[in-house]
Amino acid sequence: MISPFDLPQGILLLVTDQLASPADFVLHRSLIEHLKNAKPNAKKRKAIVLSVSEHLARWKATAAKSNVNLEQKTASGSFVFIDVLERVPPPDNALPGDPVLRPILDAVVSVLDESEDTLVIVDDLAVLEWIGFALLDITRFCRALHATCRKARATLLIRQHVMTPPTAEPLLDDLFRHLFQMSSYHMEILPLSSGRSGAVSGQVALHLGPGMPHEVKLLPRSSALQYKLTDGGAVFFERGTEAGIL
Amino acid sequence: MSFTRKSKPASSSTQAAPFSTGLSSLDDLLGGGIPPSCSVVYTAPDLHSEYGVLLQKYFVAQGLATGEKIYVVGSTAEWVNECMWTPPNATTVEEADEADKLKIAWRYESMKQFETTVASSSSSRTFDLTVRIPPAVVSDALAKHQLVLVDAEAPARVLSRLKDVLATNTVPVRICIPSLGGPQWGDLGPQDILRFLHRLRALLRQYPQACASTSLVATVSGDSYGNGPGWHQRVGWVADGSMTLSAFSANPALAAAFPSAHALVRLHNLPSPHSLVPASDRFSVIRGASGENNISLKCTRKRVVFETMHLGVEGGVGERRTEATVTKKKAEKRVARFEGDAYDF
Repeated sequence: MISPFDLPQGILLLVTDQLASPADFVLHRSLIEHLKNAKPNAKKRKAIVLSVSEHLARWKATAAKSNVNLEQKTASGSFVFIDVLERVPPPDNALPGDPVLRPILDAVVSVLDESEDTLVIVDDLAVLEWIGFALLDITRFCRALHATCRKARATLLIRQHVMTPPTAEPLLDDLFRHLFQMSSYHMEILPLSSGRSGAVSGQVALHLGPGMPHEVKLLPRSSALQYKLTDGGAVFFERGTEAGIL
Repeated sequence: MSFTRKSKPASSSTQAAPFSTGLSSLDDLLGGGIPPSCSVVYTAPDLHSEYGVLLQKYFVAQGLATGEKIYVVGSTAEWVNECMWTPPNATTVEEADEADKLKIAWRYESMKQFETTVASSSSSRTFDLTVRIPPAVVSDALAKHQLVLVDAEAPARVLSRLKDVLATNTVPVRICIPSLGGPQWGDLGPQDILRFLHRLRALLRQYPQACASTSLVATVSGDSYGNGPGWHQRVGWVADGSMTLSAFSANPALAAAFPSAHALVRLHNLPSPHSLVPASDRFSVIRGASGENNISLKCTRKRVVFETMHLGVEGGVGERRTEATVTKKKAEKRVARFEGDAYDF
């Protein structure tokens, strides 16, 4: 999953990003690769996107640049787009223990099928917390979603925003701590510490989550892979290399 | 400034033209203007300057000048009357021919003057801060329902009113919110503001013929508003484009170091509605080829301009670098006026 990182299937990948280096390209790339590389005799592939902020039009536009027609895939049932706030408006008077996000979980369960190779992408969980959903509800929802995906042997990809003041360590909020405990791998999208640059858009570091056997080549922050954004995706290169870019 | 020539942003046939903000330099920073279906937020943390509101006035003035439909939320007709306008006889300014007066080394004679910003383009009018909008224009726009004032009540009600408006209009619509978080909005907490901006963006995606330009009031613009630092980032995540205008008036050391700038501009994120790379990264001239120029805002008597930020020339603040532009004839006329004066001592 997600070239060039070669991650296995069936994991929970936590992707954290910052405003200066958004992880949109990772989500789009994983969706496109999942839907594109379907081998003829293998299990049918399906992708479910739970979106809080981004509209379907942007997913379609970016997929179209890599020749993946999302409308066709939706019609054939291999792409499902669930707009979270359309189904569950932000609660105003809910008690902390109320399962407000339950309808979303039910929607995912109804579409998940064990016989298919599924990728579930959850976009923008942090925004749910900021606009008023209870932290307890969100963490329970994530745990339930993780359990459901494990049962169906689906891969779960969660994106979380991290606030970092420019000169200090990242601020970890409670939601991040809960998600990190559940994750198998933690992919960090970092901006360059020396500021903006035209040639390099940011860096990607890959860390192991708690309690996971070591299978994949990890990338600590000191040897993070750098990337440059293009219109349709990203180009990865080692720091200080890539003749065409630097 | 970088010398690599950038091609002009070609508006693709499937995407509508961006909305001009009224300032050609700000349009350049945003990659051509505010793209349709995008929401841009300005934060201005200095309590004693109002650059955010000033930019909103330009936005409204541009909309009135081009005849687009504008919805102003939370302000009155008196506020709109304070907007700027084009001067009545817009003649081209004659530039003093300084090349004759200033002797420079021959090898630099063919170089053009150092430019810190873009020239004004044809799409945005050159608004003059000394000219107020004619009241007739405003009352005419109100009567024709081209300009509509929406009261700032509970955010949810404002959003439902905007939704009704957008559902019935297919023309391009500008939504201007000059002081989100101000007293007319009631007691808004950080969660209410983020929820409003997030829902506003979702509304714009649903009705992509509109765009929104919002300014947060100074009291809710600081980075540590809410629980701890990171407010600017949170606002950036719920909007398409966001920038902070930190005025130098609060920091005398900075004001002395950059004498020709009045505020530092920090671009947190820029609109990219249909691609991964914002249009500004490719097309902005002020941001430079690598997008890393420091940008400042200068507010002179007649105009506001975003430009690249540079340290002052050695030689201090008060030293003039060029000849005064008053010509000899004008100087004579001035003397002649005083001669017959009654108070001639």
